[in-house]
Amino acid sequence: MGMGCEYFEERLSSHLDGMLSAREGKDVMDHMDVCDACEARWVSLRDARAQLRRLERPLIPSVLVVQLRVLASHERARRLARASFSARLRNWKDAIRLNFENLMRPVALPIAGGVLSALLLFSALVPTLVFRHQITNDPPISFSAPEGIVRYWSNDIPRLEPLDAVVSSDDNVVELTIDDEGRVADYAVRQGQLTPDGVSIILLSRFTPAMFFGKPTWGKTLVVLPGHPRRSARG
Amino acid sequence: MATLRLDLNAEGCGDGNDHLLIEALRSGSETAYEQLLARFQQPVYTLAVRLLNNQAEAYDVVQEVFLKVFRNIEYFRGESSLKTWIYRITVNEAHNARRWFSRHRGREVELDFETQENRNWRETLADSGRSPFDVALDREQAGIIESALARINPVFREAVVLRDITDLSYEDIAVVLGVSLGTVKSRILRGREALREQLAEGLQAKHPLRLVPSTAE
Repeated sequence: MGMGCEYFEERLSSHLDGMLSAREGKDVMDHMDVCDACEARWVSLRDARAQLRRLERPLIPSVLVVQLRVLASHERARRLARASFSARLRNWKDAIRLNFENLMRPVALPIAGGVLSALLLFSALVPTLVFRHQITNDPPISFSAPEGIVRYWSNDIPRLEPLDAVVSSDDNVVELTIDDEGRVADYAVRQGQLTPDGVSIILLSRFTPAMFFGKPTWGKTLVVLPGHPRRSARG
Repeated sequence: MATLRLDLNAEGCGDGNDHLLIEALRSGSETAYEQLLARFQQPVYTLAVRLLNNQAEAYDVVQEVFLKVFRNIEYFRGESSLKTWIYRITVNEAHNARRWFSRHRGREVELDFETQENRNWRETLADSGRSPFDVALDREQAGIIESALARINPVFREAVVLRDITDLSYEDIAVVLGVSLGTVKSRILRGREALREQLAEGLQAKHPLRLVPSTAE
């Protein structure tokens, strides 16, 4: 190895990459013409580099390609979700809805099936169900008209009079609805006004209920109470 | 975003439209993500494999690299090119992985990577039309150079791999490694010298070349 070999050794690598100026490159070439050691070094360096460059590029595994795409997709979604407050809000909403759906989806089918089968069962059983119907509370429509007049005189027991009996315009007339036990179920003032006597009759009186085929039933009756002039005369 | 996508497609994937690609990435364009992967996944994987000399580790490193790229793209200020930025991340991640694996390796047993490596190797063979002798010779030589590369100092290996396999310029390597141009020159020089010595040793040790095909193709 001649003089200045160290100087050239340092430049061989740069020369390989064409990083030397034209003059430096020529110096290196000239040196290699006279120095076998440096030339051998140059050749082996060049060969090593050529081998490196010839080395096959290891092909990226397809699994990794897929994973990178998934990664990119996740990161993109993340970036979009963080872009603004509304996007973030939407993202939360989507996440909540997704979680809720995932939570509910497994039970959706059982619930739907349960409701459906309950409906089917109910509709199948409905004709066989019998409810006790209390007809007795319903006043028969044919007996909704008053049957007669009950007239109270001031100090007398009440008297039953036919419907066409004369009722003076001074009297107070109250129409009572009597239930099948003889109690007053409802009343309506037909003429005059409701006097305290009338109220006590409505609240306290017990009538004989109307009969229908031998059974007590609802009915109506008109009660005539003496008007005011007569009461004041009595008092 | 539509016009941006058109521009990206019109100009192709050169370095010139880095800023377009970066803007599209920041705005969350799907094509931008695809383009970034299409452009860099293979070089990054190659670099990682050569730096680590292990496909399983490279597999993890590549995912880490792209995760960092996607997460930090908004902090990328364009002081270097996108390419050098991504390679820099790759080199750093490989460095971290090497440190981690050097501490943990030996406790784990690789089960199925051997077969996968073999299969991948078969797929990567350049020309299946050549004679089995050439194929075997190529594989032998590739194995020699790979093991020689794996044995040299990682600091020098980084520089050599970036120069001769990733094919970066000295300036780009300086940016990727974060060192001066002079340091890059000396690292490449010393890396190549080390590689040359390793190859010479390997040849002596393995002389004569065994050319027995190890797997029947």
